[in-house]
Amino acid sequence: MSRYSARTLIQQGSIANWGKAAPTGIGVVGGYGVATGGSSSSISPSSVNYTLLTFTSDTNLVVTTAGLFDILLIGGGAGAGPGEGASSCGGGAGGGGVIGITSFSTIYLDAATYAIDVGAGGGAGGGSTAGACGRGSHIGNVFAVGGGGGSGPTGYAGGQSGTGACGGGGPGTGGQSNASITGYNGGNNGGGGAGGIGGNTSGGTGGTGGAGIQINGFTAGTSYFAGAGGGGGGTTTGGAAGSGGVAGTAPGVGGITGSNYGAGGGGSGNTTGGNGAAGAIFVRFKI
Amino acid sequence: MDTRTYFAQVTDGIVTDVRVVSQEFLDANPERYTGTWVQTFHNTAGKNYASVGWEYLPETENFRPQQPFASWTWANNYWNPPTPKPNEGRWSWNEEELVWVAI
Repeated sequence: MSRYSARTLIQQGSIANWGKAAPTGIGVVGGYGVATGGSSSSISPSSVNYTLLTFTSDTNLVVTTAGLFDILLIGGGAGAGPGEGASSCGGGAGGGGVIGITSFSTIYLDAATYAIDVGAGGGAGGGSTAGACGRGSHIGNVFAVGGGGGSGPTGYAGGQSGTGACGGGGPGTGGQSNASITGYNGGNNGGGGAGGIGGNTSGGTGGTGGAGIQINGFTAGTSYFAGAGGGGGGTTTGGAAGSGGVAGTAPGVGGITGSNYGAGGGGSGNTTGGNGAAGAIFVRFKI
Repeated sequence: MDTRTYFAQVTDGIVTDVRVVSQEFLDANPERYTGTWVQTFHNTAGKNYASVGWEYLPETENFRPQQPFASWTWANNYWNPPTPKPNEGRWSWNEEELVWVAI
């Protein structure tokens, strides 16, 4: 197979183009390009007019005029660890999906069709299986990673690492983050968020979920937090929700599924934790 | 309320990927979605949301995690121990003795 054969249908984006000024004569307004795909709307943040393309599931981005595009990617939130397994210490919560770069980035894209992969949320753990990591969100080869799965109670492996904001481990087992990826550690039972660390469990109370990152202005709608970690499950009281996240629960109450884009699932004291929420991708260009 | 649709890639009975994608887009793009894909539900009672490494149960169109211990049995969508876990305190399962041990 030719090394280029896989690109005949889907043109992959190139990180090599990041930060470059748009070539002269392209684009429509201020070097921005034109594209279609997803759900299209008109927005005017700070009195600047844009077309906003919102992607909440896999599809394609079709760039009809090469140029600059503002992009915001949110990876899938992770599933909480199991609370119903072989111990009753409360499941660690899932970490939130990490947002691409900082709040958003501006990239140059050639006229082509780009694969859009929106990261699915990770499933809650069950039995002795840790919560699943959230899947990353991609535009071509530009991506935001998903959150790390929450672990089960004592005796199980800690939250999975290396995939963004990490989920909490069981008591005494903190999640570990990947130093090369933006995101925060979970505490020893609260899930780490894209914008803050998760809290430790205290007594019978689960750890607080890490905060998400506040999205201001990009979509011109109400400000909200994306990529929050979930609260940890507690043996008496669930951990509090971080900004944009869901709380953990006490024994007898199932974990809460993350709702905002990229939010991790909430842990449960002694039953199944919550699933992580899927991510999203936003692309906008000036008009 | 999340109205998105989710599909799990199943290879030899085991989940190998989970995607958020419409049925129509999945069907129209076989080069991106190779193999067998089964719908999974993100937040629906009685249906476990699929995770990579979980087993697909075609007879119930559901998914389950790995069996924690040989003595545990699958019922009501959970792996259940031979004796119920006490409600209060912290406990660990001892598979050799088949008892719960306070920790």
